[in-house]
Amino acid sequence: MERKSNHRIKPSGVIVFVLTLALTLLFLLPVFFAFISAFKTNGEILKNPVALPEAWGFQNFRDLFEKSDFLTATIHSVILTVVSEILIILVVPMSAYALARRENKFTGLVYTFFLAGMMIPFQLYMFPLFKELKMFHLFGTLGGTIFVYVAGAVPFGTLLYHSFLKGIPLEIEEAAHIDGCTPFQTFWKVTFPLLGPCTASMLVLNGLSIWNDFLLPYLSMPINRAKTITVEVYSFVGQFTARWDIVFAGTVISIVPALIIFILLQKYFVKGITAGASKG
Amino acid sequence: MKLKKIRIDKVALAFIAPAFLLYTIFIVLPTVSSIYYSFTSWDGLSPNIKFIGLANYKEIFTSVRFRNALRNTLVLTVFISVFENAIALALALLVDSVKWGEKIFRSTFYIPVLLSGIVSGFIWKIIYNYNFGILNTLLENIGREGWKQDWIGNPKLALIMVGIVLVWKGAGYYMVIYLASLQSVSTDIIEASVVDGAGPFQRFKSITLPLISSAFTINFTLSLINGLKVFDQISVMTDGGPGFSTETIVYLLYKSGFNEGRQGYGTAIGIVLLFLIIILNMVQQKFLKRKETQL
Amino acid sequence: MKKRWIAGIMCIAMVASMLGGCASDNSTKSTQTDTKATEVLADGETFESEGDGSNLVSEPVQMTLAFADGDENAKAAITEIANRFMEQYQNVSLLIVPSNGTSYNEFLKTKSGVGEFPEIVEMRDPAGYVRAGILAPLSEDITSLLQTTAEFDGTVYTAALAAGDTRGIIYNKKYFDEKDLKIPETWDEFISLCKEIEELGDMAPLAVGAADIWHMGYWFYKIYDDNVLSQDPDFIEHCYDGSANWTSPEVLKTFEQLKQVFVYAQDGWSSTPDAQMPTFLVNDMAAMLYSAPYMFASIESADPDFEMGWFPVPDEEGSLRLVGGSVPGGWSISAEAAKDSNKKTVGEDFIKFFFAPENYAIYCETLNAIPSTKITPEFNRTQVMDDVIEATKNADNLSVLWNNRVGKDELPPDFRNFVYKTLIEMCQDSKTVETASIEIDDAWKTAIQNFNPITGVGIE
Repeated sequence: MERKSNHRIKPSGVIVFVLTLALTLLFLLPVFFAFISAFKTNGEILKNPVALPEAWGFQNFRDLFEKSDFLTATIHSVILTVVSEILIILVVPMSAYALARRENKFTGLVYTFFLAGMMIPFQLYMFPLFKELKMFHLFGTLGGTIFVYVAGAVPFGTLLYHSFLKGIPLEIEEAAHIDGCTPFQTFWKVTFPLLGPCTASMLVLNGLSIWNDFLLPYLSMPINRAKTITVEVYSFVGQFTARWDIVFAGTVISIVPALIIFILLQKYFVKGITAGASKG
Repeated sequence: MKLKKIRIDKVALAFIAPAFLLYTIFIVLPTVSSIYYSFTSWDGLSPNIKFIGLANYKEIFTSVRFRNALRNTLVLTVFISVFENAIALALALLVDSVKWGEKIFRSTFYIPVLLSGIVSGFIWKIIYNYNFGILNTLLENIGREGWKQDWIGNPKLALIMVGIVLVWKGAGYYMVIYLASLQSVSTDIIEASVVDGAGPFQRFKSITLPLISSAFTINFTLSLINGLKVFDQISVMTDGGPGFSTETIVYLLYKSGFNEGRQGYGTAIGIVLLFLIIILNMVQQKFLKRKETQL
Repeated sequence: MKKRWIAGIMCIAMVASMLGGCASDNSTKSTQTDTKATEVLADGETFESEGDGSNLVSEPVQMTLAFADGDENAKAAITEIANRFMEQYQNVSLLIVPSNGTSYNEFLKTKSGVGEFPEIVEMRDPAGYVRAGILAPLSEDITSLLQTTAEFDGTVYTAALAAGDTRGIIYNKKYFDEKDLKIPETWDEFISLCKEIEELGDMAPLAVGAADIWHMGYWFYKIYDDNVLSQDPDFIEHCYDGSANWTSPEVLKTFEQLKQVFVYAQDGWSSTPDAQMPTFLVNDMAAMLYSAPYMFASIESADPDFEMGWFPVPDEEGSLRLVGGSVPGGWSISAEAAKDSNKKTVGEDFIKFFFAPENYAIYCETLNAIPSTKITPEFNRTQVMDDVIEATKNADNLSVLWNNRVGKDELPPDFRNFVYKTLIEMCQDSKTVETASIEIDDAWKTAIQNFNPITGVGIE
């Protein structure tokens, strides 16, 4: 529903617009700072943080790729995010569907079991997790890290899909069933397409959290290669020196895909999380 | 769905299995192992693991440092939850009223959410820097030198300044939810109430507020849980300092386990934190659900 | 439906094994990016391979190598030496494992926890690892190269990369000459000097970078050494057996003097990182900095024209108690690697190679390190470095940092940082000297329940 609501705070639209604009600029000032810093030298950044760069050079970006294996880091970030997302979509909605459609003691318990995971902080189980991964020969591999991300997406994902599913009428599914579809087919062919907004939310939220994640890749990715974009950026703030110019160049590279995907999926994303929120 | 019972269970199981397996193996199992380690004095290194019973927990409950971390955690979490939601709601109301460019504004306020936690920490670390930071430089430039502070070096301010970063970073997400909620309010009701002579505040109180209350519930829950787990920004901006003034329970856990070689003790802290999260969550759910139905 | 299920699961399994295999396949790829040699050598000097391509071992060997690479200078120097080693011995390859700068200790702990401890490794806090049996003893032909070695129960496990980093005041020579400021000969004179600079009003007397918690160690150790260790060199041991504690008059005096010094630190010292110290000096924002020689290179690169002076800070009686001597950390070989005789040979040879004068010179020069070897390599030293070495020769007492000791003097794991953080709070007036000392004493009493070399707790 895209209806313009009538909650007016001030009668004059202009004041509201100007106010919003001002707030936006203020709000984005730190991001603006990060952006222009990507084109400055280290000294420039510290001397004059908000000034525009003297010369809009791409030297920092070049340094970034030279001084670290940033290309590998980027490839890793992309693989981690994309593969995790695919697996998440394969695994989570289906499970939430079963939990939402077959309501009994068992599924109720599983639902609570899954949701409880939202409260467990990563730092609590990270060390035993690493030992476990080592046992399965998954430590230090992309695969192991992906599995952890997919597992981590189960709690919130189940919550979102479960709520969203409640809002989808059963008639369509029943019709499909009568037509001879197996539950599997019913889900993937009939219900899943209707979950579009929810899936979009999941993709955006999980993608963002994996793309930006720090601690897990930092501690457990392959030891002889660059890890992910976020970790590489972090590595330029060393114990003794800090190359802020490179840090922000890396930040710009990191934020661009996120921004693009967000803008593209915006419409669906909003629908998805609100539906999940309102049925909470 | 009136299918044969036995087939349903098998099917349901098959649907749930992958998620269940992954979740159990990679999240639940390590967490349960943590419980075991919390009863040991393991330093994280040696193959010898000594069982010490409840000693870690006893220490936690008598430790001044833990109490400090608890206090910091609660202050930070409440600060973040309250302000994230307040600002998010305010922004949502504002953006909702804007006549032009609403979609653009919605995106722009969301941009900080797209940053990684550590990058947001870096940016604000530079902003807060006492000698070269943007904030103090700005204050100097507008002639307010007396207002200059050592924002993250002053133990009285540091925690709140970290909180501000988190509010800044998170508000956009909650704003989007509030905004969508606002826009789902049917205009008919609004028009009817205008006809009935209700002023803007009246409308807000009686119509808007109740309808966004469910959004509020879930937002507050999420921001509370996330607030309790804050890590990246503290790690990058203050390392728990100055002194212990920004050391939260999560941070203390991490420090004990990794820097200070007390993996068993750190894990025990983690378990305590988990309980804290569960309890707070239950309390808050009850409270908000009641409010929700009241409205 | 079942078929699709099986197919799906197999798919996932395949993907997983592929990704699992991905990492190991790539591990033999040489780390070009990590081992990029930088301009470590003096201008104009090029490196020529002395290697005759000789084979150190009969078959190709690859070992992982790790060191604290947060400091760019250290990273460059060690990388250069590693490259030379590989040039010399053709079928040896050293895989440098990046520790990504901060938290070297955490990095090592994680690696050890998952069984991927580096094979040739720079150790920082070796005691725990020695006890856990993770390190291998070093052979005599290595230990005989060094001036002093740290022994754990009579055995040597580490070869220190440098002798203890002697601390002192690095100061703005030009400013001192301009204002006719005198080098102090006693502690009180030093405080007067600080006061004088403060009254001049041009800049802060001292630069302090306490955002990095370990920076507190500079001032703390010096004052603690002057007041506490001078009276009782086995203070820590006595704290363990209960005959001494952290509320004694000497400790209180230490804390008071610390507070006294910090009054002269620049505004915002508690959120200023150590890395910004050169900026303060070269931009005339602070006149003095109490730090270690590695700072010389950073200051020079911040401003090559800056005139540095150096003096050690005396104690109340005017004697010079300095940091120096052997440190327990250094190069070590993992016990796991030592089981393989080829790896053991390579590892030991690398360490010997590192300390060979022509290679060690690079390390010492880049880091302004005091050589730990018996033979002093030839390298260019700055004037201030000569001052430092001179001072260590004439010092009234040389000791190792309180957190770098082993045996009965070893600190409990979480104690050092706790003390530093509490002292920061004290210097910021959030706590009184008395409160701080009581809290530290309480923390000590709790800590020794889990770790006590005297009773053997925590040291199995």
